[in-house]
Amino acid sequence: MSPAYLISDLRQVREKAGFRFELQVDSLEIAQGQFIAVVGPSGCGKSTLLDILALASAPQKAARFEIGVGEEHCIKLTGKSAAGLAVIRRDFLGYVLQVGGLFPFLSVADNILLPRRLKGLSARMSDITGLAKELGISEHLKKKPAYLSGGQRQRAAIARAMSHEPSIVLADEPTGAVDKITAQAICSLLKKTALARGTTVVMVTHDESLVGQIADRRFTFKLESGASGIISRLVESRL
Amino acid sequence: MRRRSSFLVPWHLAWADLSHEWIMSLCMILALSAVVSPLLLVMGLKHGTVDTLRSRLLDDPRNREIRPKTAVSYDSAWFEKINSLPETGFIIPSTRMLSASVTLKAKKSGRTVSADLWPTREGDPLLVDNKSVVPDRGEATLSESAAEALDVVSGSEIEVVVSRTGAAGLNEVARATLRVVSVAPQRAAQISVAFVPLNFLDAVERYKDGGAVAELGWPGSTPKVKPVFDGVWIAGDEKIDELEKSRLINQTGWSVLDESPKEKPMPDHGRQHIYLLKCEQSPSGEDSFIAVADVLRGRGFTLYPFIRPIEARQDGKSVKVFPRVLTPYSEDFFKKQFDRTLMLKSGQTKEVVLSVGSGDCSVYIPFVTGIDSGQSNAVEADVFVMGVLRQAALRPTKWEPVGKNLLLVRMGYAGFRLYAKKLEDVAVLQKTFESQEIGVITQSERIRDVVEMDKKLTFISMLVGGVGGIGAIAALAASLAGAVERKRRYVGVLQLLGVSSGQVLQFLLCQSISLVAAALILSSAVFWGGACFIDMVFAKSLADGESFCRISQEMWCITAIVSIGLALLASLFAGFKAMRIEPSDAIRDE
Repeated sequence: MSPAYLISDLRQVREKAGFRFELQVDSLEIAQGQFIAVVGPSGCGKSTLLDILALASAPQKAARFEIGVGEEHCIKLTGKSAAGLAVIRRDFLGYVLQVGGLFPFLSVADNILLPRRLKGLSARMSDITGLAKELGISEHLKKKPAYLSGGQRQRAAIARAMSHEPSIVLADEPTGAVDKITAQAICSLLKKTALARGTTVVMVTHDESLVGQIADRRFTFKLESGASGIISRLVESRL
Repeated sequence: MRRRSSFLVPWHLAWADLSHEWIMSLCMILALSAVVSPLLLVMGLKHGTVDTLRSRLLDDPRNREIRPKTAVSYDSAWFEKINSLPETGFIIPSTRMLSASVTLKAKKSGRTVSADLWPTREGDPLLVDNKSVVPDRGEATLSESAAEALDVVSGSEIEVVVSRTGAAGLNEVARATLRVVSVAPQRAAQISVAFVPLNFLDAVERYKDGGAVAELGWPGSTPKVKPVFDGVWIAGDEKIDELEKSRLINQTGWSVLDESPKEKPMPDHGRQHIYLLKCEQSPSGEDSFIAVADVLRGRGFTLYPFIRPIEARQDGKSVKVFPRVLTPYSEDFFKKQFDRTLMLKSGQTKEVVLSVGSGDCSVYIPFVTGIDSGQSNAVEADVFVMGVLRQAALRPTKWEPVGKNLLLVRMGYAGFRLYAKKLEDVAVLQKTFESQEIGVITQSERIRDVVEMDKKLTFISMLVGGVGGIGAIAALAASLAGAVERKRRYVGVLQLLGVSSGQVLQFLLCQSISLVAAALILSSAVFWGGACFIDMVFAKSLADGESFCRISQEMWCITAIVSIGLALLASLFAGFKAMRIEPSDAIRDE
């Protein structure tokens, strides 16, 4: 199976008010089409890892950092320019934000169509009706996000992350702002739509129970307190 | 898969955002207009007031008018010279003030008014710039006050009543009917004035001086050209004694007595002695002949006028006029009629037109030609005619075809009315006149005042404009930078979606430009409303088409370019700041 991510010896250091935090990823290989869960309490480096995987912030050091696109095609990310990374984000990545990721000034449909427009794909209503139906938001497409409930909004955010047929979708606590039942439903929908399209999903959450049923692989962090601060190492945990 | 251009996406997003947050956008537009509108009004007021005053000064020909302080005689050569100056826009001679005052009488109502006659001709700025008609022969343009006093309108007929004290001490009156062609507004002349062609005024002055005006049928003396001669032949059988000799050259107009003259033609006299009494410079006329006759009375001398050949021109060729026969002088000599018979020495018998004198004195006289006698470029004329021609060569004359007489015309004019081409030319012309020791009355002080006011107003408006401008820049930059700061989160999300830096910048620029453009439109509307209001308040002191608050297209364009340029700068600054953040920084609210 072709890989979605190929990472080895990645280091990311964050310093804030004399407090040093270091994220270490010794080796990470994710196959395409898998649903990956990254679980851990807040402050363990989940978001830092997700930002790196989302190409939203560049790692300070990485021996290998590539993403796989389609069959046997890997893109080296180390040393890429900001503009180059932006193009990769636009064409191959989708991102579901914790909350408020939708533009309030665009209708739900326009929000969902935006990535298609940016990628230069056709952006007609018919291009997203299937996706909207799968996610159960067909009747809300013409509304502004402000008129949607939290759950509906997150489903719309998933639709936006998927509308331009990306290889990988990254989700950062996508259910952080909704109740448990809704959260579970949203996670299942994410899994379902990703599976139907063969999309790799990396989802970050603090709630292990949400992903226990649906994740193909699960990762967590091992924290070590040292003299220089905290070192957090990514480790795979058995399901 | 065919890719579509994503070029318009940032613009679509920008407008969607602006219209979504329409209250916020409106507030920004209002805030920007609040700074730009007063700025436009200040600029408009400065521009409008100075422009209005300036164009009033320019439009009103009286401000470019130059008149002499005292009456001197200006001949036509002088007028030609002044007219050819580059600063002169228009000049017309004027007569003595006294000659120009007449009584006007309305034919219909019979009302009368004392008025001045002002000479005019085609191109007179006083009439043309006041949208009045320049009167032609038999016509007049009245000033408003004259028209009101007479209760006449254009098209009415008025009578000009000219009076003079006649020879017997009686009041004599002459009348002429003129048709009113237009009424000049107050601005042209505040007093009662009738604008008439210059030759009508000439006629009035001539009548007042006791002369006749044939074309108007006004009686009076005719200023016939009196012949003058270069000397007197004195032929007699006795000698002129020493006492007589000295008396002949003492205050007689003659200065030299030639006792053995060589000049030709000598009178065929058959007498023993012949003398030639001559003048050195200017020829003399009847009085000098009477004086000589008085000195030699009772001594049996015969006097003949002596005249040298006269240079004349016929069809551009030069012709010499010789005396035909020497007629002796008698008391009736100077009462002779002008005899137009010429002896043409080329054999032709046709009417020829001779001109004598040069420049101003040039006059054309039709002659009847007589018999040939040899020389092609010579003609012979009666000695009396030659005396007339001699005078005509010296001073302005006019051939009067009705009475078939050569008449004297005026030497010059007592004054003038001049208009400089531009306001700035007034001072130049004033200097020219002062260097000729001609004192003139001008509006130069008023002109200086406006120039001074222009400078002061420019300074004030620069001050106000400068402070306002800095305020506008600050407001613009602050509002736009603030707006961009508020959009930081959107910018982060956009970057996360893979929107390029250039497109982020486009998004921000598009918003700034849209806001500034809307603010400019609103400010222009506010300016227009304000300007209309100001003009309404000052309506009474404004003429049609004038405005106290006006802005030129260039000024508007400059304002627009500067504001949009500032908007671009502000959003570029904010945009670069926004782009420096990594997309991850904007993902989460921190």
